[in-house]
Amino acid sequence: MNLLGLGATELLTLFGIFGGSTVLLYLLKLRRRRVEVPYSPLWARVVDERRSSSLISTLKRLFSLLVQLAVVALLVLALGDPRADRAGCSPEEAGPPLKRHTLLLIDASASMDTWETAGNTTRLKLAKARAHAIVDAIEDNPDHAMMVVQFDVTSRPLSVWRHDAAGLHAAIDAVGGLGGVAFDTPTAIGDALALAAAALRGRQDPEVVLLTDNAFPRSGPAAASLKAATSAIEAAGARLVTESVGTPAANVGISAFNVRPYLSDRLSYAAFFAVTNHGDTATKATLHLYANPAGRGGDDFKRPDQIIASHSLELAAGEHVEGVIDDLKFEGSRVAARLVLDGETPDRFGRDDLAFAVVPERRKVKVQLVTDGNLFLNATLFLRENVALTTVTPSEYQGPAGFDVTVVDRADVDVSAPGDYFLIGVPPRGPFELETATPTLTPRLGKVKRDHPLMKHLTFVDIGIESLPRVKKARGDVVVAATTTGEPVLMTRALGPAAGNSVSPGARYVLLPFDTRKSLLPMSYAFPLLVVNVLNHFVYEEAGLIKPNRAGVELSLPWPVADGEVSALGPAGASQVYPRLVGERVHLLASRVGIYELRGSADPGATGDSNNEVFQAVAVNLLSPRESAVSPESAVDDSGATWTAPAYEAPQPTPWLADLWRVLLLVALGIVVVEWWTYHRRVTV
Amino acid sequence: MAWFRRRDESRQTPRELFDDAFMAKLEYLDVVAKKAFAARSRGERRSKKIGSGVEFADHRRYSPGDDFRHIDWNVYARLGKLLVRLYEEEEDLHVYVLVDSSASMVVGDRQKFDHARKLGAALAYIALSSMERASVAPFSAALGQRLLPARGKSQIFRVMSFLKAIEPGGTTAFADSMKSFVHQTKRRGLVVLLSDFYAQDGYEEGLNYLRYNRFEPFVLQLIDPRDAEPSLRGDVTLVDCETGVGRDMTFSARTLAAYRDAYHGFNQELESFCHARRLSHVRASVREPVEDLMLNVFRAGGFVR
Repeated sequence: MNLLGLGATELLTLFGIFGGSTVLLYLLKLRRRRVEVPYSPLWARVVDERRSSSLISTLKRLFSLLVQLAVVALLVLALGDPRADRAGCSPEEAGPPLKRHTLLLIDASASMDTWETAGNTTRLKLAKARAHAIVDAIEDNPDHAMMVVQFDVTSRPLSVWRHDAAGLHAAIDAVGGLGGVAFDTPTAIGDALALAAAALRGRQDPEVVLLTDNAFPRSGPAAASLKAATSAIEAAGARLVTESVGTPAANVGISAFNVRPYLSDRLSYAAFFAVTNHGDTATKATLHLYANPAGRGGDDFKRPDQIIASHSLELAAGEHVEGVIDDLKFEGSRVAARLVLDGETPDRFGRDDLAFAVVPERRKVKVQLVTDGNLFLNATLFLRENVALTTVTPSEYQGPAGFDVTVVDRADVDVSAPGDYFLIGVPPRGPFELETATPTLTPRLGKVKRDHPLMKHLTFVDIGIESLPRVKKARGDVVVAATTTGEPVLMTRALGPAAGNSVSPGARYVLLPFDTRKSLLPMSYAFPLLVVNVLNHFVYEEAGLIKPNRAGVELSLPWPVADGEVSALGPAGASQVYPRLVGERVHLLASRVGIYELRGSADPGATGDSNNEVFQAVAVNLLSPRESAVSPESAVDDSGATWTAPAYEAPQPTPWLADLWRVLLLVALGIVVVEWWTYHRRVTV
Repeated sequence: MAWFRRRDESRQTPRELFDDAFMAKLEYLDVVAKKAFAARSRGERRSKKIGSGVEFADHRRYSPGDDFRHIDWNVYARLGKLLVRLYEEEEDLHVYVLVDSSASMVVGDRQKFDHARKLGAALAYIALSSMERASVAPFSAALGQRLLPARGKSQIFRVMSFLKAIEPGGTTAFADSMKSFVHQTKRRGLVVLLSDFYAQDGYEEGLNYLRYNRFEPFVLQLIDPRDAEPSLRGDVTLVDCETGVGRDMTFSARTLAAYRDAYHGFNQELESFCHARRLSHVRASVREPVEDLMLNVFRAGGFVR
């Protein structure tokens, strides 16, 4: 016997309380009332007649107590709602035996947002309508349990096994989360079917109803996963029925998008894109790039004045086009690409027409040039758009304060103050010393560290140095280029308490120890590249191309502080995202495309100080060529059968007395009535 | 308001035992008694003693020393025998009103005791108005101090004061009380016994003792209907109000029925005892008004001749 109401411990406690109270009341009742009578000899006759039955009276009183305790026990046991011959005690097992288990597996991936002209709605809404119809079909069948599971790149059960239509309808309405629309995520059909197989294993008459558009990969790793999952479904003894929604649809979508700073000009950007025509006909489209410093969602990147570039495309049927849009200049760091089909044909799947990118925000490098005049150097620096150049004479020089880089061209000035220096010509006094006063004449270039950042994209060929001072090397110096005899031609040196740290107050030097005017270097293309590399060497920035982030995949991003709290603000309409800070990395999972802003505090104890705030923006995109192929393929089960409601005959009404607690209640009531009747007839007293 | 009324009623002073209404009833009873028994009563009561009265009673043989004036010469002329005429001697009748003042009379709301005192006063008044001598005495464990016999209607106030002053309580020792009464009373007369006859030692011996000593017992048994139908349920301890003896009982319908039988049997036994010995017996319920009870007494006879 199992107890579905109160547990055994609670019942014993209740019986202890009420049984004890009954015994107490019984003992109080045994205290006889004293009644004064005028003439007791009259009663003596009666008592004498009944004295012989005193033992029976005692037994009757004891029996009366036992009857009361039995009534209490019956009532307490009724509270436990006892059931016979059931193995488990869970509410699910305690109910009537369920004869059929149907798991509704509803696809909520991005392709389910494809617009269907037949129903003038999306595939997801068609699938949900079909799911509602299935639930309605079994509404009157209490022996038919259902579970609702939505899946995209992840699978999430939205209900337990239940057979109440209201709860199932609510679970179906919850598919798609906030707004009830498909997520911006790809499909992991294999994982979903594996979950269904696990949920149905051991269930009676199990089946899976897959409500999907069948637009998911069937090759590669996905195929293996799908095969394993269908095998698991078969192993669980479950039927797989596919309720397909959607019709073939042509789609043109962005399958790749990224933006990086331009290689030679950090204020300029290059956008890489890939657009695929998944349709059977050629089409024309335009890719617009929008910039919005504070934009997060698609609605923030659609004003015409935000367009920074547009690119026309002509796409043949099934063609995949890749391209680069150069020389982009925009304010801020947030860019979105929006693909618009030319003509009146609307794109039925719009989720892949939008992509986002976040690039490191750039600023102009403040450069101080100390020279009496060097046209090549001045021109090289002046022409760089990301350089704010200030030219001073050696007599005007007051130190490196306020500048990112100080370029000293053949000037004997004090360069010992903390700062970043690019020294050209004989180094000034202080940090550098010469081994001999006699320079090396017409040196030949020997060793060159080609993998050094200063040598990026350049090579020294026939630079024709006339005279090279012999600089005395010190511990820690990095000689990037040297003569055949080992005399430095290009070297770096770092001094100060925190050498190598760009934000430390130490002094760093790049030394080009010869007079460039007496060489062929300024005439070669290597000279401006060398200047750019030197500036990049001092003003370090991340590499331009940032790895794209996909919706539905957990992101792991570096975070400057290990402690504290991190909050995320996503695009309008997206569900709240809760990032987790693990060590010096923050993890978040976003199911909607857009730009997410992560905010945290560098010092958890400090509040209200904006300087302590840590901020990072991250772009999340769909960028799934397979998901952009929204035309349905063959169903997984490949049977073509549709789900039909099983025949159900309403069972005979359960007798009112089928529940044991009702019987117990009636027995208790009967005992009370009999006891009351016999008591008042003085039978049981 | 009902609550106030109840409180006001509870604050009322107890009604006087013998109020003006009771006095009016006594006058009424006196008139009724005179009308009802005018044919056979002249307001006096003759004794059975043969003496110097004027009412012829009997003849007896002449004995030397008898007064010649009482010889019936007509009989001597017809029969030739000397017979003397005897006359009933007229003397005052003594009426003794004995009121049971034991604790059983005041169980509950004292109704039996109050009724007994009212009936005693009424009977005394009837006797006094008939120019009889009336005396009142309480009894319980023993005979109490009595009111000496007096005559005349004006003595009723003494009787009432005496009755009001009786303090109830104690057990009922009926035989001992009657013995004491007999021993203390020289003049025989009518003994009105106002009691519930709940005597621990029984009533038979006491009544017989009165009879044997030529008193005329007039048994007026006071009953309270609630004694016959006690509202008892469940397990109780019965305590005798006179002896204090307790007795555990569990009441059932059968127990109550048995008690009812016992109660009626007791009453029947008393009535049978009185009838067998030609004693006047009247059963007076406390639910009946005093005047009605008095009429029953009149109908029963034996009190007013």
